Amino acid sequence: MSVQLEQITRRNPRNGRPIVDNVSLAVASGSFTALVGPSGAGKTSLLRIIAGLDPHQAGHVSIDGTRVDTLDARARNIGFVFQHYALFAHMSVAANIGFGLSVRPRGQRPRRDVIARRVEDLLDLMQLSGLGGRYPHELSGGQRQRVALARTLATGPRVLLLDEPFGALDPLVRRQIRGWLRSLHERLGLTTILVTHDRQEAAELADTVVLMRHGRIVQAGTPQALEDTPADPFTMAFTGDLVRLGGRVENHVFTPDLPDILPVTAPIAAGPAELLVRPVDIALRPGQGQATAVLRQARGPLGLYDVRLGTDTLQVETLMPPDRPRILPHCALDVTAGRLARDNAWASVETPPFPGPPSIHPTGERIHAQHS
Amino acid sequence: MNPSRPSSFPGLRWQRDPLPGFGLGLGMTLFWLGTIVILPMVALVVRPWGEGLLSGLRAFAHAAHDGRMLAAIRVSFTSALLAAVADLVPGLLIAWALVRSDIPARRLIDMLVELPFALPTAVVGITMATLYGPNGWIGGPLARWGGHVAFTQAGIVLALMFIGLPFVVRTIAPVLRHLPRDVEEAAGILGASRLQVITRVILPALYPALVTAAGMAFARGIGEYGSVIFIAGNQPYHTEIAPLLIVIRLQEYDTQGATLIGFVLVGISLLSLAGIGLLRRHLSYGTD
Repeated sequence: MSVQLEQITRRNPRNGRPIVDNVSLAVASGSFTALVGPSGAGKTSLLRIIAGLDPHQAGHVSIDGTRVDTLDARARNIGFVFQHYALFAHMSVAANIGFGLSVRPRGQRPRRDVIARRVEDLLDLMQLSGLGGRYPHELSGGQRQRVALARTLATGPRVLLLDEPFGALDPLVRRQIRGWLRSLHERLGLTTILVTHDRQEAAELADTVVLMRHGRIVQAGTPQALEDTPADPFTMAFTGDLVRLGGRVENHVFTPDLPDILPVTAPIAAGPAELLVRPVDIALRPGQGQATAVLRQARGPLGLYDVRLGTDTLQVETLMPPDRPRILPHCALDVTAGRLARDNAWASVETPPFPGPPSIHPTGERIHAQHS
Repeated sequence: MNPSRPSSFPGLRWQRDPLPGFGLGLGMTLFWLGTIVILPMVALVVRPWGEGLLSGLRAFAHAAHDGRMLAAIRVSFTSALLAAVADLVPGLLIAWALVRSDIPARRLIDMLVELPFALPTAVVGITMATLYGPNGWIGGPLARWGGHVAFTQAGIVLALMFIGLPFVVRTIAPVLRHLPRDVEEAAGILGASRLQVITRVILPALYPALVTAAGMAFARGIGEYGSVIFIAGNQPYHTEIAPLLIVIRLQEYDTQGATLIGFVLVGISLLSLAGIGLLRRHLSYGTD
């Protein structure tokens, strides 16, 4: 089942400010979409509008091409998993899972034994066999979330909406459930929309990542597309670790404020600017400066270095030279892989022709930024 | 190891309580419990045997055949029970309106709920007797339809309902307020109708609070005296409540008889409260 959103707007009922601002989005049938963004970006509101839990003031929601704007939440046949599980505390796990089937009108309600069998199947599917008689408070967080998921799947929805379902779980359990959710999505042929503020979770799970901010969609695309061509500095900051270096552009050359960072050429007008670069993309160039890099931790071929630049210390993760020295004296940093930002606009950067020893840049290739 | 306090008992370690004054607190609790609760109770239990074991036994045997006393106790307990259970319906509705709806003058109503606490109970009784009396504003029209409230057990139940209502509202409202909304939303999205959400999700979550509320209204109702005697008519064997009979016995200088009634009242009350506690524990399984 596909989900289409057309120019959805929802205003705060108290002050009239838009929570979701003119959002259009098409979610293909069978796809896994992640809505990501900082808190207050409108992700959860958008999800609740799709589910019919919150009203919207403008725009249309369609499921499989049919408008559902006027349809009650209970009539949309959508599965919704809440952040805090929202299990029925006074019911056993089995009763929780069977709830959706047992509240159907008399004519459509499956027989008691049919419901019991469906509950058993779902308990097996969720790796919760034998826990049907327990109560929610007797389960661990991960088990509760799986019960909530089983309860949602019991009525056979085709669209699954998940509102930060792993937020309250510890990292190890999170990782487990994540992988298992992805396989469940594929096995059951669901159309899944996940709200999360964890960019890594989004990148691991989703086919399409939709980055939101201030109630609007900033960028939507595959995780790779967001990494390769971030629409603006915010996207780049949100999709990965980032080092920000202040500096000035004079005569199309950007000179960072910190010493021992090699200047880069930039085709933008003179004035202050900021260079954004991933720590992994920073290269160490021994013999070109006065900085000292101290190895903190080695991970395979990569080394995490503390680089002292004047009074500041920068952490850089980069490919180590073959002899894996603990201390690299007289270094300079090469930040050619970064992007130059001024306000909310991009500019690509290049290395000015510089004589010197060969670089130990991890990839050797430069990523050219694009204007958004 | 906990180095904060050297232990005078080898092998025992003291855990410092974050609240200071544990000793003082415990002492005051025990003193209060002893002087206000246990001492009078002991007196109540001991008193019937004050004039010798034989005399005590004779008094009990006599009481077992005292129809007036048994009737008074029956009237007290049935009225209190009826009033407590009947209070649940308006109590739940008022709590619901105060918590969930945006009715005008919500704050005023919220304040008025506690009025029965503040009013002298005699005022309540006299007002009710006037209202529901044969010539009262409500009692008059009611009498024409053949309904009699004042000077019947219905009057006692009505007075006890008025006295017990704040207990019910004040017990249910906070539980209702803290009921998570997402649970209701989850039920709705799973296909439950509004009525099913109420009967299968909200009410079961309120059961423990409802039992507690009824228990408090019941306990209050058994001891209630001032408001009841004006509307009850106080006809022996019919509308005479046990607390009133205690006063009557005392006025007849029959201290033994009075304490005997008190003894029975306390016994049945303790049993009822224990039963209510058990029921609440059973119903609140999983919710706390």
